[in-house]
Amino acid sequence: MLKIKNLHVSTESNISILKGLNLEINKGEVHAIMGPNGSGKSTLASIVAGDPKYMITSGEITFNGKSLTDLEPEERSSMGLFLSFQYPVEIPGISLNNFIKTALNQKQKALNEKPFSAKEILEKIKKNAEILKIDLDFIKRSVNVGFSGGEKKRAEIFQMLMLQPQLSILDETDSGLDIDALKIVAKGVNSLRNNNSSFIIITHYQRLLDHIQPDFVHVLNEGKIIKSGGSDIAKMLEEKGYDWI
Amino acid sequence: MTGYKKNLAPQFNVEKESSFITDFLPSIKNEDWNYTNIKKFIPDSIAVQPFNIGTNEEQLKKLISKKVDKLPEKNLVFFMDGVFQEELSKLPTGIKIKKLTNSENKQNALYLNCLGKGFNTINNDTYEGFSSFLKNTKLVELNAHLTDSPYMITVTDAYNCDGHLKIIHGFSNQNAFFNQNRLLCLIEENTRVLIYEEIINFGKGDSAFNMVSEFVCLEGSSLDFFTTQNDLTNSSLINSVFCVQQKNSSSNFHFFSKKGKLIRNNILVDLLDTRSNSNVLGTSLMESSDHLDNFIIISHLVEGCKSNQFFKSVYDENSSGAFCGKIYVEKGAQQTEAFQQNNNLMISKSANVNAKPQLEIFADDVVCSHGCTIGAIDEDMLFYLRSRGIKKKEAVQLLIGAFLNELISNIENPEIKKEVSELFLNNTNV
Repeated sequence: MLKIKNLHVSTESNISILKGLNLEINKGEVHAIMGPNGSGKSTLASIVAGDPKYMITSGEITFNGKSLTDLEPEERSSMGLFLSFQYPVEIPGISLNNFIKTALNQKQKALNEKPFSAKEILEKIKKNAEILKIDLDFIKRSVNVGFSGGEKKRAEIFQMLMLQPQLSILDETDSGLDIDALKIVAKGVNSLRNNNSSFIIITHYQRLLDHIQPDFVHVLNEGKIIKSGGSDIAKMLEEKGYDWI
Repeated sequence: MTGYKKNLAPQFNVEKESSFITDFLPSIKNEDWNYTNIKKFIPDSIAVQPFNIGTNEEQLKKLISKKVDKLPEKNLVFFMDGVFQEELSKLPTGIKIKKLTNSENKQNALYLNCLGKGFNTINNDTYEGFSSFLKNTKLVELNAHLTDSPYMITVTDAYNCDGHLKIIHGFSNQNAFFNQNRLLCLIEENTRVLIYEEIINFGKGDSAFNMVSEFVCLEGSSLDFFTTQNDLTNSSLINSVFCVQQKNSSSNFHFFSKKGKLIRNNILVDLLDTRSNSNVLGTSLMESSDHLDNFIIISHLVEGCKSNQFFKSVYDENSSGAFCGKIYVEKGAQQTEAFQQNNNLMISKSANVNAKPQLEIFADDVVCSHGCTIGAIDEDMLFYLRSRGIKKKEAVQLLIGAFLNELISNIENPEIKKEVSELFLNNTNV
């Protein structure tokens, strides 16, 4: 599904961040990516989603066989990619409700499908709001404005469930969540998990992985994956820290 | 065409009439006109709208049907070329319209200056009204010379209406004239009115409009005044609004500017007596090479008054604009609360705006603030929207809508809110 080959990425100001990263994710797999601060985890998430602040200097990313390099963020989204932001931006004046409606129907349009009716959208909203224990009044508020840290993350997962992506990248979605919120977020992710959808979960902590069992765990350091394996790696890191590697 | 000649004040040399307009056009060296070169918009050779064009009713109906499906059903005051059209208007109870005669018109550059004295409760002999502004902006004087007999609308305490009073200023404008229009409005004690004003150009584009409106809010009255400036393609509008307020009165102005080669709003409010307050708001979206200049002075002349200026503008393509807002607090006007905010969103690299917020404060116990921003679309917001599958163009539209909706969403009258939303939000569903 997602293939990353020898990826080198720099910022706008030419600071090299990813330095030869390789990663392959197949249908239905859950990959966890761990690593110390500044190792390039969020850059990896951003470059896959198409953040114009980063540039690919060499290497390649393909999604379902198609190169992502020249695709706009919205094209990547309609292909089935989703990024849950580490710091979701506040957008005053646009309600979450209308935002998600617009996003859903733009995606339908891009896929040459007919738009969802207001009723169909409302049903989807209700269903997903219930999974995430979100109040319907919350959806009428402006996107992320005045949301608590936990509410912002829950709103990200809500958007993910609405858009039904094939590959979701969760960039430190667990940071700032209390135990109950963490369980709810995990429930949301698990409800989307099936043989066709895949996840990249970027995290610092083992605790999220207790609720979402990863198939693979990778350790990213200085722009490269330095260790890959099963979920036991996460447990070792929790006990011994990154010096252990 | 020569209708105005005989009515001109003696100081004008009729021989020089073709260029006398020039004497009334401020230059950009004039501090109040730094950012708008009016001479670029109003050529010396422009023909002046004659008095009493006298369009007959049949012609009038034909003109109207070409432009608007139908006039509003109720509460309508309709002017055509500055003449009140009784047949086409629907005057609600409590609204009176009077044509001021020539003797009342004389050479008063500003009616307020004489009208105001009669009920001037302020014990301040030095009150000079808006004279210092009028010295710099002689266009108002020009309007007085070229307007035959203006109308005065009185909102009496018998007026009691939940909805709004629509005022349409129509212009038949067959020859791309320099059109003049003048209106006085007196709101009587403890009376509340919501006026929604619109200018409709039924004639040629490429013309100019010099409008002057004067409001007098008596004790305890409340004026809401909304105006849309959208039907001015290739035309120039100089719109001067003067408002004086008595004790416990309130005024809320909201200017919606969208289409016009030049839109210049002069908005001057004098708070004459205690516990009066004024909100002056503006929402605008400028495109092509259009130019918008909002010039505001709110003067706190006595203690205990409140005011707020809030202007939000979007500039796209090659449009340009200016915001000059002043809060003036007279010596002794203690416990004044006055705020000013101006936010500009630039969509295109070739658009430009100048902002000049000004505070002039001579009292020491006041709360005043001003804030001004000029910025582009936030890249992080744009990426966030796009990452959810929304195309760049639509995402920009959404963000423009969100920016403008801040003031629009607070409009209480549902009909006006709907019209204004259609004008600015372009079905963006914010």
